[in-house]
Amino acid sequence: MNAPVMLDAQRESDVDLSLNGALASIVGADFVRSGFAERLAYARDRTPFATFHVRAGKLPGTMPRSIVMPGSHDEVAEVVALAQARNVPVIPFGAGSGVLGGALPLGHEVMIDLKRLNRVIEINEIDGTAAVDAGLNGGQFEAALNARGFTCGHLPQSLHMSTVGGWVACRGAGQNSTRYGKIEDIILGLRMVLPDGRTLDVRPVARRAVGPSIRDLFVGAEGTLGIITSLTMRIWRKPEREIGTVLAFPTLEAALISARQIMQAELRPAVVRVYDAEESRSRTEGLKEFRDRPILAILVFSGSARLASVESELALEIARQNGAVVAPDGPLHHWQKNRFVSYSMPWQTKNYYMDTIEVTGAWSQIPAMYQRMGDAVRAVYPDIHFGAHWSHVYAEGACQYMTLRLPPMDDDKALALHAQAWDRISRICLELGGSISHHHGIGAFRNPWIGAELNTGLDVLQALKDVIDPNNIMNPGKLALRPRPGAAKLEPRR
Amino acid sequence: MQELEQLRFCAFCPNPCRRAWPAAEATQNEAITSSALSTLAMQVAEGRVAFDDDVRAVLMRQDMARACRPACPYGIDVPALVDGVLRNLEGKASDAAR
Repeated sequence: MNAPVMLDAQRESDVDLSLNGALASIVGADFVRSGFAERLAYARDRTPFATFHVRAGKLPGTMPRSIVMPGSHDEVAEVVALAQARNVPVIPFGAGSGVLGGALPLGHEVMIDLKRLNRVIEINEIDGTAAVDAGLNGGQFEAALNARGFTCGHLPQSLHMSTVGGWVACRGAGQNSTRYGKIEDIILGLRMVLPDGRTLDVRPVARRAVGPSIRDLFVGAEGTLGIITSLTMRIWRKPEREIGTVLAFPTLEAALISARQIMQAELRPAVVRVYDAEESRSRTEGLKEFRDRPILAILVFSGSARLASVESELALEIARQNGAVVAPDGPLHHWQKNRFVSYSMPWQTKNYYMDTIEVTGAWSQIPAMYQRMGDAVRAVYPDIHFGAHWSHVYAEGACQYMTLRLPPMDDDKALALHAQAWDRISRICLELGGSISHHHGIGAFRNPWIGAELNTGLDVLQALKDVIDPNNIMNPGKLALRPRPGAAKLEPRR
Repeated sequence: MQELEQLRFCAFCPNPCRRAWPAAEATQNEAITSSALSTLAMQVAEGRVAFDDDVRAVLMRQDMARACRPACPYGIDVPALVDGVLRNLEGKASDAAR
């Protein structure tokens, strides 16, 4: 099916006056938007597949029906109850930084923009917690904590372009996750609106043993099971010291072994980044240490000065045993300077087809995963750019984060190659026992592989969805859950 | 970078500058972010979206883009670029009306 063209959508633009009037009676007329130009801004997110469409003047999915911007939890509840009563699908929208289409309208949904819910409600320095509204900008949240001497420890590349609620809804991971944990380790409690308009409170406590975790049902649900309106997060004193080290390794294998041994030695680095030769090259130009040791790794330890120093030394011992030498700090400073911006714009601007895929693999499988995935995408298109790094590490395995880039070419041909590359990588990941998503989530773009990833777990998820959202109004068609009739598909064209 | 190329760059950038827009502002509308304005301006400049009163009204809502301009990591002046597109479109409209 051909994607809809923006000009056609503009000509056919229609406004549901009755619905907009009802929404305005809840939130006020200023906070309901229905003009084509404003709705167009909500017809995309940062999914590269969507970008490929947008730059060609096409819609990746459909136009949203309306935009509504509630200013309180109660207003969200009223909006959802109205949507339920009228059987109108809705999508919660934060800052739209997702890269898999989780916030893309596929069936003329009403977009519920949560950015007016943006207060820091309370910072509790005794308990080490912060309660915040879901629509608060991530960078503004971190800045508020920093001003009090704290950090959330969740520092994704999208820090300044995402919301706190979005981090949780998409089950994200920050760049310092090896020390502070992923978002599921950081969130303590949440308040949300269920699809029937009722409120669910998961009170924040350090831990509870009262059956399965209700909280975790909604961490990563991407708005399919309700709308998170506020959260309570763990926070930490800002580290007294950070010690960063740049290492040059003789081989990728040696660097990955070092990362594994550092984690299995029970050290807690804030950052571990290992780059393959392709990604190391551009970051180490002119540094003599990398002439014979072409693999770049960056380690950062943080915390109390004494502890960070001891941990750093222990990690360096492991690295040296695997043939590494310490190199100048240039690559560390480059990463620190650019860690919160996107790398894709120069390529997307010039009509390249750039995308990233992150998967999780066991240490025993990662060498094969890297080799086979690289071979597979080069078989799809020999001149494709393929690079990888490993930047979230565990005792058991790591996230392999890959960058793929096709050169400018005919759009249909490129989308077919892009789809083949995604398919081959996802299948190899599953064959090797990995998970097809480490932290970007599912959205709709990963729908084709979720059945294989979750097996009967997908049936459990669908059963839950059917019970709490029988009319299927909450972000339908995402997470490989049942779409509404007539909805557009956001899937690779294989 | 040429002006249109800068607009395209911003259109494909996920708005790291948005943190400069205060949470206390009453309007928190995705359509007036720098990247959304750049995208819309790019689309009308390339003829993929028709220029009409609705589009003009959104392109003129530049308060957020102005507030976020100092936070752009790439030094792109989105309001100036959008104004350039508007001037060009208004000029074409006025030529056509003659």
